[in-house]
Amino acid sequence: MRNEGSSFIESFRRYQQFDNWFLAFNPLSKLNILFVLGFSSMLINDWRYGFTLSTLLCVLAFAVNRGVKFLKPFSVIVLIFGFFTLVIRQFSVEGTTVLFTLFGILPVTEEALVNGLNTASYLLGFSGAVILFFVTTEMRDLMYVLEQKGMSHEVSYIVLASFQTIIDLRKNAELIMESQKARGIETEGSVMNRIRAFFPILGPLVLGAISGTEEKSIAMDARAFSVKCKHTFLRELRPALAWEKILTAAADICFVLLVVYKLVLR
Amino acid sequence: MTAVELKNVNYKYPLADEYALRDVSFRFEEGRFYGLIGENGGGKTTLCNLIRGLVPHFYHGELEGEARVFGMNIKEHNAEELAVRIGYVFQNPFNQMSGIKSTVFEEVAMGLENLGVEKEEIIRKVEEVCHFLGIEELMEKNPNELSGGQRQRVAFASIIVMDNEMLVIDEPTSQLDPQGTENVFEIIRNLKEAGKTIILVEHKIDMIAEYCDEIIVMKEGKIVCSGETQDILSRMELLKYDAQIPEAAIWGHEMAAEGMPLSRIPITTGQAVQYAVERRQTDGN
Repeated sequence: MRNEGSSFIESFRRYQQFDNWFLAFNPLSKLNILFVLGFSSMLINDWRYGFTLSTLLCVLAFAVNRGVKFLKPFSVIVLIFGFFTLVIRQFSVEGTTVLFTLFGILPVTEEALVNGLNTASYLLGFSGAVILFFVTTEMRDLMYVLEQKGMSHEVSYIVLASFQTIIDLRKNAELIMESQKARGIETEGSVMNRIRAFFPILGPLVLGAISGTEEKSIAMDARAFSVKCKHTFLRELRPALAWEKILTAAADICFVLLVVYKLVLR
Repeated sequence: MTAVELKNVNYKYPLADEYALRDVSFRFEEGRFYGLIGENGGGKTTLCNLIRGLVPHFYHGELEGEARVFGMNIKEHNAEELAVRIGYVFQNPFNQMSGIKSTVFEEVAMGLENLGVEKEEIIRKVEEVCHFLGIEELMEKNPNELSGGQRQRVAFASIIVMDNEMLVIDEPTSQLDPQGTENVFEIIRNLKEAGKTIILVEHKIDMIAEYCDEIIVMKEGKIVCSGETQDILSRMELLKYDAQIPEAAIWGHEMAAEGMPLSRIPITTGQAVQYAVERRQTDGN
């Protein structure tokens, strides 16, 4: 075998390596902790907690070299949902203490502003946790740990294949549009032109996807996909470490206490 | 030993009016390489589906007659077991990738993972097959970024690594360029030398003539003729079944029509040259 291939092949003989501790964190434990953090911002519903949490999540994303990937969707959430929520609350929440008037017509009250900040902050806290999870965890790793816990490999395949299917559908749509263009059909220009060009491609796109699915099922069947036996894994992740389990348990306990406090004691 | 035995098989797909297979009787022997040729819609792919067990386990429909694969009636066979014993490669290389693996190495290993093979054994077998097929340079690449020809080679690797007893290969080069076709037939040649039972559907008749032991010609769901490759592909009457004959055979018949018959009708370029040289030597004497 070529020397340059051997380190690649050797990588399958050990647990998969990652660039840092957070990326290597057991996916289920990470999911648990981040979702607990996300839900906590909704339960606490205080803009100071929510904005602090989302800032910390942002800092963590940069610390683990996923800052740019994190900021792309997160900034959309900030701009659209965060800012939009803040503005809408000025109209929907009544208040008596007017702080200032926006554009000379919209009175901004303290009550509406606090309410808007609280809502925006928990949206950012929750979505920040979700986004951080998905930019630091590959779906195949999540599916691997779920299969270890007993999820069927059919479900795993469906989830993973769906992501590739979306990419394939987009490529096929582009191909069909190009061939329509080659036949003289107008596919660019005004919005109406684009809509008129788009709908006729749906038929061949959907039919192509259906026949492609049939062939793919046959191809997977040829790879013993339906054989009823315990599957093995070429690519393995290390089991969750003790400190990961302790941290996850601590996060869960804190969350349960928070729920009890919010729902029962207050 | 007989791998597949068909007796008076008739088959109709669900909701179809016409039979896709009509009164098909044939015996496929182990270790032989069969070429299946004929017009489009002649029943070749349906016959492959039957041998592979997709009919009746995947495509239901009406199956009559007797079809035995490895000695057992096809209807009694466990579909999963057939999938392991009979490998299947078909024409669209883009639909033969799983879409869920990041590297070719993992893609090829997938079948062995599904069979519960131990990791070290998986690594050994995949390395061996990648070396056998000459796709080592593709091992680290993403299967979704490969060309059609490269994907077809990976599809072959994914099946060969499972060490099936029989291989059904349905028009593997129809979507490939000449270089891709050359690469695929190189793989098929290696499989033949390894003694596998192979059933190949192809329209590239010159390639079929080079490699196959026996030819089966199908038209309108029936086997219209079958026999040794040399015998079948040298006959002009194959044209009436809408099947092609090799260029070398056409040339041989034209030579005979011109009053310069060769010792036999060639079916490959190599034979054409050989018989032409013999003819010249005979004329010289």
